[in-house]
Amino acid sequence: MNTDLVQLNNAFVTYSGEYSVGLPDIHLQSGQELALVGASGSGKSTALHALAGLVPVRGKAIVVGTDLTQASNAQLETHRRKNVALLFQDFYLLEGYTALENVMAAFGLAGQPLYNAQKQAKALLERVEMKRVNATPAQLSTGERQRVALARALAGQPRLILADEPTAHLDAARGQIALALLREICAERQAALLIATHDPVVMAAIEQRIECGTSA
Amino acid sequence: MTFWLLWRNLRTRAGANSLTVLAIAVAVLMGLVVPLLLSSFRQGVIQAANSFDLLITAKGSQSQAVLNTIFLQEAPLGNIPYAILEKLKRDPRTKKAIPLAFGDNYNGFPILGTNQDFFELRPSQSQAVLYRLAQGAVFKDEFDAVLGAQAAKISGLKIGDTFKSQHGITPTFEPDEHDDKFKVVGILEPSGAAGDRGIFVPIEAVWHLHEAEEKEALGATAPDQDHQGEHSDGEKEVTAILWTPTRLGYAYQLANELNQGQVAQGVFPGQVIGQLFSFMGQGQEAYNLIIWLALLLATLTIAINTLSASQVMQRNLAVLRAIGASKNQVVSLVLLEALVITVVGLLVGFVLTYLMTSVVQQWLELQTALTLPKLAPNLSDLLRVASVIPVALVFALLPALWAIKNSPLKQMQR
Repeated sequence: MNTDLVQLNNAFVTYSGEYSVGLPDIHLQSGQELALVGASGSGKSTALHALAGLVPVRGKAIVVGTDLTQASNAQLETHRRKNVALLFQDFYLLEGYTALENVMAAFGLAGQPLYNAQKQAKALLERVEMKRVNATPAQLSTGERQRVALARALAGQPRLILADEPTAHLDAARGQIALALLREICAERQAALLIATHDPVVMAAIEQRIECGTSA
Repeated sequence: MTFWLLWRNLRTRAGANSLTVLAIAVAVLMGLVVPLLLSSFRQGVIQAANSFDLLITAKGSQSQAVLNTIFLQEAPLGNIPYAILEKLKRDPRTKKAIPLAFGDNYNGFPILGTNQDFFELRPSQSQAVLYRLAQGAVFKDEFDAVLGAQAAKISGLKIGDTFKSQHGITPTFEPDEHDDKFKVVGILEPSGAAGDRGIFVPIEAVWHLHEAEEKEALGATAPDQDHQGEHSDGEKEVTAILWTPTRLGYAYQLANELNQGQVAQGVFPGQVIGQLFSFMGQGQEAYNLIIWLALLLATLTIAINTLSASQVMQRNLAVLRAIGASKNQVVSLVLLEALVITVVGLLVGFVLTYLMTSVVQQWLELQTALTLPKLAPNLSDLLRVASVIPVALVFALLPALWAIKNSPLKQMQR
């Protein structure tokens, strides 16, 4: 039986009970890639936030076995920690923490002892070709910060990786490198990859696409 | 992991956290050091005053009499006739009457003329003598001198050394030295009383020096060596008499008798010191208010540190939540951070208090020659200071609740 990792049907996000943002119907399986495309404000990021359990969602929303519409706070925390990884557009690295510590924190929260967390964080940073592991976010270039964010996102062995405009802050060449790395790692881990983007290069690279903002 | 995150968060804001620790430490210092010093000073003074039942001095300020005679501070009130001492020695109520004569110093150490009974003084019947010899012997000859422990240590005088006394109770730039030399024959052990700063000589030597001085001032020739010490009892004076009665009730009786007269007064050192402490007690109440204000200041510093840190701290907490930290972990992190800062502040404050108390005690001991007991903060002091901890935690709860109540997305996007 081929079970969907993501089942999003007639789902929507409500903000303060005043207005809602409709989410596209999504069905995604392990190892698959999907691009959410659309103009700014079309709800691409909102969809990723909803799948990550960061905003309350209504309708049918089952992600990596967790029914997001019914999940308790604790279940949502576990969901964020273990099931999904969200690569934010603005990276949101921990300020004052080094690159290594940023990734260690994610390993630690996933339940790894400190020594293991350090060892695995180093390995992961090496995997994403991040060399300046003892630099803080303020000392890193945009590309380096993105690699750290990617390494951190991968720390919990997530089955679903959500990437919000992963090439937005990078030039074309670096954008392609970043995208290639992201796809490569997802393929290695058989993780599903869902990318929100309006970058034509990314859109061209990902075969399966859904247009956001076309449903209400 | 929580402790690792805690350590990382503390390090991230090391500057602000260090300032908060310092502010708490200073508040603790202010809150503890003065009560400790007052308590220590009180015990030292009481110990010193307990050695004397009744002090007989010239009429005047009782506080000045006690400060001068017992603590070797301030100028003497004046002299009283030696005849009073002679009369008291014959009085059946007298157990001991010890004369004291002031007027000279050696490099700032007061020279006290007295007799050998002085070295028999006991703080109470059951206690050992107050002044015990560490080296040498008690004076025998007129110009023998016995040095208090501190006077010997600081002046550097040793057994067999000689020195000339200087006129006046305090040193001057151009000391007016007497011609006669004293010879150090004994050095006392530290006693914890003001006498540690004193130099004790036979009272006859003081009379001798001042008799010669008076005659010189009057233009008379220097006294014939063969007739020294032949001054009549009617001319001799003492500054004070330390009087111990055979029964305590006699002390009040004698004090009444003296106070009704015109020449001398009886002073109870314990009463005078009690009045002084009563006065100081009012000051301490005012200081208690300052202590609470200091602790309030420390608490506000913690609050400001905790709340103003929100920008970086709240963002990091939101990121942690977004990558899977539980609400409990976030709350624990914030509370532990406040707890660590507060407890470290208190501990640094205790260390500073200990150091400051030691330094000030040493200075006070040098100034007064009292031995001040080394005191640790009592339970009520500690509780008072520790009251900062729960208040700090309450303040820390605000950003903790803020961090878990609001959406991590909103916090990150701020």
